[in-house]
Amino acid sequence: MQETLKLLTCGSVDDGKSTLIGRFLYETGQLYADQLASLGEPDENGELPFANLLDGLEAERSQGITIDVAWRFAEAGSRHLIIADTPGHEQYTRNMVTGASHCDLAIILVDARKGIIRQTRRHSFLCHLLGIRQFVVAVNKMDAVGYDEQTFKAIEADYYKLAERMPGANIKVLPVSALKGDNLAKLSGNMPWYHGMSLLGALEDASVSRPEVDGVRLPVQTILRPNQDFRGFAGTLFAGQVQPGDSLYHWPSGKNALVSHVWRAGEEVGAIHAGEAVTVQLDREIDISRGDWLTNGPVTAARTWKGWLVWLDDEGHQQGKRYRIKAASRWTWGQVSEIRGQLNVDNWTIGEEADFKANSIGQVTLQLEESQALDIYQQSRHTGSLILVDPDTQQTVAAFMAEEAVSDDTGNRPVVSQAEKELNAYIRRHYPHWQAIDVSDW
Amino acid sequence: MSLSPHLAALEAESLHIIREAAAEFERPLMLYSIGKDSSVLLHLIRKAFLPALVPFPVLHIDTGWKFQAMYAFRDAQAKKFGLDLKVVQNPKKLNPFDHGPRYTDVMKTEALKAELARGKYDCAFGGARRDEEASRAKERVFSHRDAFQRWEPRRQRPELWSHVNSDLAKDESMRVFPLSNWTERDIWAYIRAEEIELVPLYFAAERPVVERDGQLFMVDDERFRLEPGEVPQMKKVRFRTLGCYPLTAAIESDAETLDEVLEELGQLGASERSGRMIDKDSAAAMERKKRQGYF
Repeated sequence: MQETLKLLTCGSVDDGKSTLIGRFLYETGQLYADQLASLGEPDENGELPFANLLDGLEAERSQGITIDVAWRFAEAGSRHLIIADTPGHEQYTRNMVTGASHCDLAIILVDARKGIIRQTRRHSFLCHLLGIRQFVVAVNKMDAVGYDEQTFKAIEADYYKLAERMPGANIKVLPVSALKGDNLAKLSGNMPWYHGMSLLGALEDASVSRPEVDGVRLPVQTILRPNQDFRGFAGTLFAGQVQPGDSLYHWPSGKNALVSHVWRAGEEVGAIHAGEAVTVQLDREIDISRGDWLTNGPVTAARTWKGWLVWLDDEGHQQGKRYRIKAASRWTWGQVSEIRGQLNVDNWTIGEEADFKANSIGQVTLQLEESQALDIYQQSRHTGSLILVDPDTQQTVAAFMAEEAVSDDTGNRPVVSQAEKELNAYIRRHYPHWQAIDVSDW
Repeated sequence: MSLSPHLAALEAESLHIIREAAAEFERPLMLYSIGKDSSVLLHLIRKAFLPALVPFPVLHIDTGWKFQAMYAFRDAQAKKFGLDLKVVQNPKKLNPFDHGPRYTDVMKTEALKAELARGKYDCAFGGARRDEEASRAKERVFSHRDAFQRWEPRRQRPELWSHVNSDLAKDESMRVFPLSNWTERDIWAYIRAEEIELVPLYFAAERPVVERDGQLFMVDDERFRLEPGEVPQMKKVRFRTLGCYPLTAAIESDAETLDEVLEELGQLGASERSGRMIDKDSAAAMERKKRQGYF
């Protein structure tokens, strides 16, 4: 269990996220004396304002809220923790999504006095959508409800009901008090009825295994050419393993080449593995550019993709607008051609809202101007996602997670317009002996 | 020595960031401060392009008040690794004794901004880490700067997965921090594993120091102004961070080797920057400096 665990905390404003992390660091002996001294004066109950440790911006301290993600580093036993403390306000959803896209575990804070609220559902869904499968639900402020077992049990049952909609999720529900430090580093005497794990135990115990696409995925970031004899394709190997002698497939050309040498972090090695920053040399010349993929075989590439979209910008989606698109080191252009439905976070149903505003989440069809290789997001985060950038403001306006290619470039499936589909239907009805194939689903 | 899974993951993430930025921006450069974080960053940047050389210049903003050992180290490194080293100093030449906070503004921030504008650099790599200071914990890996090179924390770009939005309007630029997710301990463990060379000031030795306001300052040359009654004494000290010598306090230490430094780190009761005076001009001092364009 030495692997690094990246996690985020989420919950509504005043649920005590920053307090939880600050107090956790204190309880586990991970705060320095000068950091403790900088926290400020204890309140009337003698409690230190641990939230000040994380709310590092002037506006945050003066308003007592978290505006942007704070990244903290800690240890749980022998495990390294990288913690994203993300804001609770709905208006800062983009920062929560930013945090979640990097994390393997989510701590969902629930206020014991309020139970499961809209933000709990929203955050849980978003984390699940972004591929997180480990959930620690911290039912906080147990001190404020007299450490009552029934209150906790009711919330726990509510959450498990909610989690029926989160396939594959591994869930632990913990009663805690961030303010008093109950059940953070060790089990608290205030809740003798609780026999589960402390927060520390849950973080030590969590698995960091991640679903991974079956195959080799090396999107090329840059081409190294120090001299006439060396041509290396450098990037991060997101999946698979490669060694000299392996055959690699190049998208988009469809050509194959044999690997002659592999390098990890500037050093020639015998084999390279998923997660490493690598350089690959091939045995023959192929015209490979930045943003192309080297894989172990054909990949799904298409100009039309269906998937989930999270709108991140204050300015909403403009229908028909061309956005700049970036996927795995490759820029192209595209637009949202169809909004298939938007998520209602209260009941997790898809409604028919037509516009994407700040923090909207929904299912869309994305029409790109060039074919783009993508994986299915739930199998591969980095190669199954892309971002939309507004060419007028340079802002990152939306995040897209691929579910399905609508037209597959690897077969003979061109992008088919509505007029062509109507013509196809007309021909199939009136000229069946032509044996035209059905393209209505393309 | 092979890297732990944790360090290997940090290294891979940093190389990805470095390669992505170098490919996306037209005129990148590295900000080189000669300290341990800069040394690690330089090592990673070299690795990202090996066997090719570092494909962009390395800039040292020289206040004129660095430790003498830092200058010697800087020039030796540039020669050893074939770096395109640029050294720039603000001709105003303020000093840290007479000018207080204004000294940092002029000699560091202004000099940096002027050189970045002069060279039309659109990307500057820095060795800042999120564990150093509260406002840095809030900063993106790719940190946008407006046309006046100012940081606006409320307008930070969402940063998702590994997809970097490098789009900039005219005169805007990006500061890129590949060491964002590294801690002080990670830096030291990596230095040991990779045998990265450091300025000797990081290791304990007998050095002439005076005690002032409870902190130890090294008398590095004749320009150090002694207060009445102050006499430099030889003490065994080392530095946790390196900056301008009149503003960077030493700690008493017996840690002469990397292993001893790592062992000592586990026992120290203060954060790394507790010896850095410029962070403490006021609450949120670093945030204000960054908003004005510092680092």
